[in-house]
This record gives sequence, C-alpha cells and structure tokens, in this order.
Amino acid sequence: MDLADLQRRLAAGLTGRGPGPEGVDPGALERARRGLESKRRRAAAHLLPRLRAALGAGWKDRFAEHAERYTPSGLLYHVDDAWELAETLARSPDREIVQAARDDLVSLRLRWVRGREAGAGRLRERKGFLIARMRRPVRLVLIRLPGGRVWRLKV
Amino acid sequence: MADLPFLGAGVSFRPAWRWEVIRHRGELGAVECIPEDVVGPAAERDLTLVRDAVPVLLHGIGLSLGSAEGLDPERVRHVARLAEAVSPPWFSEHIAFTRAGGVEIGHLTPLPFTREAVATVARNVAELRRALPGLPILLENIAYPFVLPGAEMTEAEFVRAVVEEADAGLLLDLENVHANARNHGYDATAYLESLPLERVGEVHLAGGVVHDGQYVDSHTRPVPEESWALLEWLAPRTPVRAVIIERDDDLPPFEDLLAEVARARKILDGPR
Repeated sequence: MDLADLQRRLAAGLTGRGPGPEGVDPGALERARRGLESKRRRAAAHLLPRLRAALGAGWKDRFAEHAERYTPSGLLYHVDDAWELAETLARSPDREIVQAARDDLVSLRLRWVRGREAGAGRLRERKGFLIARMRRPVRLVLIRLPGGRVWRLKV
Repeated sequence: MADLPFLGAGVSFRPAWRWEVIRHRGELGAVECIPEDVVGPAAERDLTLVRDAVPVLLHGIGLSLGSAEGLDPERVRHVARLAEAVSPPWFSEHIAFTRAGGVEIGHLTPLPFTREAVATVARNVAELRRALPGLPILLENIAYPFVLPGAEMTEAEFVRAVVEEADAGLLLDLENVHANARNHGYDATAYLESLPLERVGEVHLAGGVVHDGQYVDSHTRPVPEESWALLEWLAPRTPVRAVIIERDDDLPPFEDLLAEVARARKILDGPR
C-alpha cells in the first residue's frame, strides 16, 4: 500500500466513511473516530447555542446522525459543519428546533456567507448589509451594516 | 535557529482575547494565531491591531504537509496573504496530514515512519517555501492515537529525518511528547535526546485529559508538571526562541494563562 492509498483509507476510517487500513488497531481507530466526532460536536455547540439548548439530551445523537451524513470542509471547518447541521434541523418537524436553528443561522449569517461549492473558500466574511429577525431569547430585528456593526432592535 | 529573534513566552491567540492581549502586551513575548481561523478583511484587521502590540506567530493546522496528494493552492495562498499582513518571524505547521481522497479529517493525523513520508513532507515544504520566500519554517511533532503499519524507523528518527530533509526548524510540542510517551510506553527524555535539538526554535505547552484510557492532548487544562519538567530539561540544550502556552477550550481567566507564560519565561531566562 503506498502512502496515498494509506491516507485515503485512514481518512475514510477516521470519518466513518469506510474501513480503516489494514494493520491499524481497529479499537484505536474507532476511539480516534469518536474523539474527532466529539471535537466537532463541541465546536458546533459553541456556534449553535440555541440548538444545543433546544435539543438538550438529544444533542449528542442528533449530531452523530449529522456526522454520519456530512463531512465539513474549508478554512472555517467548524463553521461549515455547524451551518450544515443548522440548515438540516431548520427542516425539522419540531417547531422549537426549527426556530432555534433559524436563530442560530442568523448568528452565522451575520458574520459569513456560505457558497454552494465545497472547498477551502466556501465560507467568506460577509461584507454588505443584512437584515434578519431573531426570536430567542427576545424578538429582535438585526441590521448588519457594511463594516460589521450590528444594530439590534427589539420588536 | 539562533538567528531567529528571541521572543520569550506567549499564548495561542483567540479573537475574544484581543483586548486582553493588547492590555497585557508587556507580559507577552508573542501570540500565536491559526491562519485557518482568520478569514476576511475584518479578521485580518483585528490581527494586525494585535500585531502592532505584540509579535504574531502564524501556526497552520490545515496545509496537510504530509499529504501524498500535494498541497491545496487556495490554502497556501491564504497563508501567504496573512504572512504578508502580519510579518511573522517564522511560520510553523505540522508533520501530519489532514485530508485525502476529497475527505477532510479535521484533525492532525499521523504519518507512517517511512522514507516515502519523509520525502512527501520535504516536497510539500519545498512547495510552501516558494509561496513564503525567505520565511523560516518550523515543523511540529504531533500526538498520535495509533501507530501506522510499515514503520522503517522510530518516531524520533522520523522527526529528525523530516526536519533535516526539509531543512526546517523544529517546533517541539512537549505536551505531545508527554502524551505519546504515556500512551505508547517510552521515556520522554530519551526521546528528546534523540532529536536534533539544535533545530528547536519554538516549544508548545498545553494540558490534556485522560479519555477512554488514553491521554489526549486536548488543550483544555493547565500545563501538567511532567511537561514543565521537560521544558526545564530542554531549555538549556536548545536555542528555543519562543514558548507558547496553548489553550483552546475550558478557557480560564486570562491572568491564569499569564501566570503560565511567566513560568515559561522564567525557565527560558534560566541558565542556558
């Protein structure tokens, strides 16, 4: 097995996309995979506090479902990860979850723009205006100005 | 390495700390920033504000210098642009890979201790140098949760071979040495004695946790006494220019980190 092949198999094993390479202790590989998922989950919890609170004890399992389906990419890897999760949960049948996801997505959109194509530059800094609404913890209209200042108006 | 400027001790940078860093600039020799976290003009502006107060080191985590597939040109351009903006005295990255076959692993993943891996890192570093002309490059040893098959040399021989073939300096992460020694059953000091200590330009210190029976370099705890002991052993034997205290989560009051910075500086200022 050459280095390229070893690395492809290792990437697959560590992200749950396939078996790891022969000769690597499967128990150690699985511990490492769980550790990486845990790291992703902690980062997402910081970026999606409303969803984290709304999901409560269900957060870990919902994140595991997401991690099985999606592998983030790009310079802002954890932001991409959180964004994808929030967009998925914004389609949930649970209204509380949908609202939490939408509010967290507003927080992300105030700072970044996410392109369609995966790659190093998928996320870039937002530069222009944005007007958005947020419901939790209070109802707000947010106006982002070019330069980054955000006005928060209670409604 | 002795030609590089002596910076003393500092901390890994978090944007939430920028005003603390500026306020305490007299107590910090440097801050170290991850270029992958600095995206966009506003983030770059913030970083140059910090750079005007304290030297900024750039420490990449996503170039994947060990990738057999080569480097991502967009990531290299990003690093080069930031290096031009903040003028670090050197650039550092890891002896690891982070992506393969279109899959981002999201973590520094070990390389096999083989001649092929040595040559791969050296080739990628040569390509990186073309984008960072004249900027010294340091390579960091990583913690590894498993050993890959086909090893042709020991880990210490591998790290030595990589930095010599890439003609790079060594960023010695003592917490990674501590973690690997605990998890893989070897003596940390004997490991350090096998390394090209004349190439050590920078040291990282951090604190980890035990999880699933393994010591994990999580950067979430104070630096353990074992790692302080390694720094005390190392400092008189190397031309180390900077020690960075890494803390990524479970953030303590900034003053706690300053106390660790002061302790590191005291060791560096000791007999050398």
